[in-house]
Amino acid sequence: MHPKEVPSILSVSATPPGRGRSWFLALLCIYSGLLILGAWREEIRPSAFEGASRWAKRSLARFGIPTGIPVFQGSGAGPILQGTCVTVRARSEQGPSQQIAPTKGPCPPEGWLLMVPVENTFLKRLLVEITTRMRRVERATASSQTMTSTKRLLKALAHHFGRKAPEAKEFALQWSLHSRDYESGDAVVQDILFLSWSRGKLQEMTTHWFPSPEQRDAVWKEWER
Amino acid sequence: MIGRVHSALQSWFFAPQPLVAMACNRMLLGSALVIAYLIRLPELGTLFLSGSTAWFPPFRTVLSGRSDYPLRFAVSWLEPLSGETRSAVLVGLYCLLLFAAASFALGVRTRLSGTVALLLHLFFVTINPIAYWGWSALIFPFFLYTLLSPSGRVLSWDARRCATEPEDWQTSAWPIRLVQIHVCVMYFETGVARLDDERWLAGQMLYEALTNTLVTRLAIDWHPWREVLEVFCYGTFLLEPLAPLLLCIPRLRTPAAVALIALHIGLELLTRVGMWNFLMIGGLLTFLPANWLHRMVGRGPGERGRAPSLTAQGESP
Repeated sequence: MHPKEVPSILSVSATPPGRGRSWFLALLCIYSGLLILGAWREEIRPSAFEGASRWAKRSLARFGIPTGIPVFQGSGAGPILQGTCVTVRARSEQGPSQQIAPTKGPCPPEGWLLMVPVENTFLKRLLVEITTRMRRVERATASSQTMTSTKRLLKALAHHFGRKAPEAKEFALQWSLHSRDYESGDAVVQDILFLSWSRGKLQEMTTHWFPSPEQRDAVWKEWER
Repeated sequence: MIGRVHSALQSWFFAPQPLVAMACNRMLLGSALVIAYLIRLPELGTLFLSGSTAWFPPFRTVLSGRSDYPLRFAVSWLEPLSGETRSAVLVGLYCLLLFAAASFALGVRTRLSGTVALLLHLFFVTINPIAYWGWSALIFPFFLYTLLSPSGRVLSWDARRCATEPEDWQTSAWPIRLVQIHVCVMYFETGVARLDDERWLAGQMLYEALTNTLVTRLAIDWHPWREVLEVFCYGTFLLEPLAPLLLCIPRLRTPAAVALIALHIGLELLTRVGMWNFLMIGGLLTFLPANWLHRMVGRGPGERGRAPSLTAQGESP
């Protein structure tokens, strides 16, 4: 130890001599072993290997090698949908969340819901619903970083809907607690994402969700209003 | 046989190793705490102080006897205090934490300041555990290992105070080994946990993170970069679970550590995930060759003091 590194309330950095050294070594070995065993017990589980196996089979399937696993061809509606104003992943007791939004066409995979702004009144209603639920976890879930994000989210939503959102001021959102705190009867809003604007992607998706040109025109007029 | 194992373990845990990585780690961890608490300063009232009518809900949860907060007893003494007194005490402790963390980073009364900073950090985590991302727990072991090592002996105000004394740039290896083991365990856990995560398997996780405004630093349209992000996503998907193995192979140790540090720097530039990246970079420094770190900090054992063997720090002598 350096002579003037004082006060040294913990002088254990010097290697203990003699028998103490052997005991200390045993302690270090036990601690290291517990760390490693803890990680092993925590993470080595059958599903991890099943996942890797599924991934390998899917990779083979992409190259046309039959594996018995269907390969999902992306149609513009994946877990992340760029260019929409809001996507809400919702879970309903009745199954995929058809009830919340006036979507058309097949439901996206993995329970993700595409909110196409057909009716701004509907989205306003949704915004109010979201903010009301967020208010319930205000303070209890406050976090400086998520709070900033949430304020930004609501500000951006307010901008898109052309209205002020006074509720946006004091909101806090702890996304990791969503599933617990957002319980509300028939549906659970698990995650809210505000995605950056991408007109091209939105066009691609509206083509998918609204096959007829008249419908698409109506969507675009509504979106750009 | 047992004797040989014992002797190998002794050598691995106790042989002299360069101290510079632990000193760098000390600066990084102290700075991480300072930054983390400065960021929270504008929200201090909401996060840690009592409200006008009600005390903070998680605090009430702690006091109501939940057993998953290790230091719940340490905050119970605040409950009888009036709101204003309690706020004043907490503001004082918050300032003390900032001061202690800065002192630890600079190596001012290193062990004392580090101990105070660590205890106060645990105290504030106990008051409101959800004011942080998950890093608040991970910093504890890394901080403790650094605190137990003589990291204040070099690159510190403590060392400057005794400029006439020869600097000792070596230390017993065990605090470094504990950091190294913990880093490997972290990569093992995070890497293996992803093997059955559909978002990682589909190569979408990075894209998903960057388009999520809760996480991303850049709110731009990432869609045109989707395929590039997929490549990086799969790179990370492979690198992290393999990291424990790569970091144990002497020839691959340095490139693996460099790749992982680059990964964390990239993540830090693009995403907001608290102090995770700082902590992991600090841990990875212990796998880099000591002479690299000496060059980086512009200081080495040649000036005054005993010369350490400038081997990679993970190597057994």
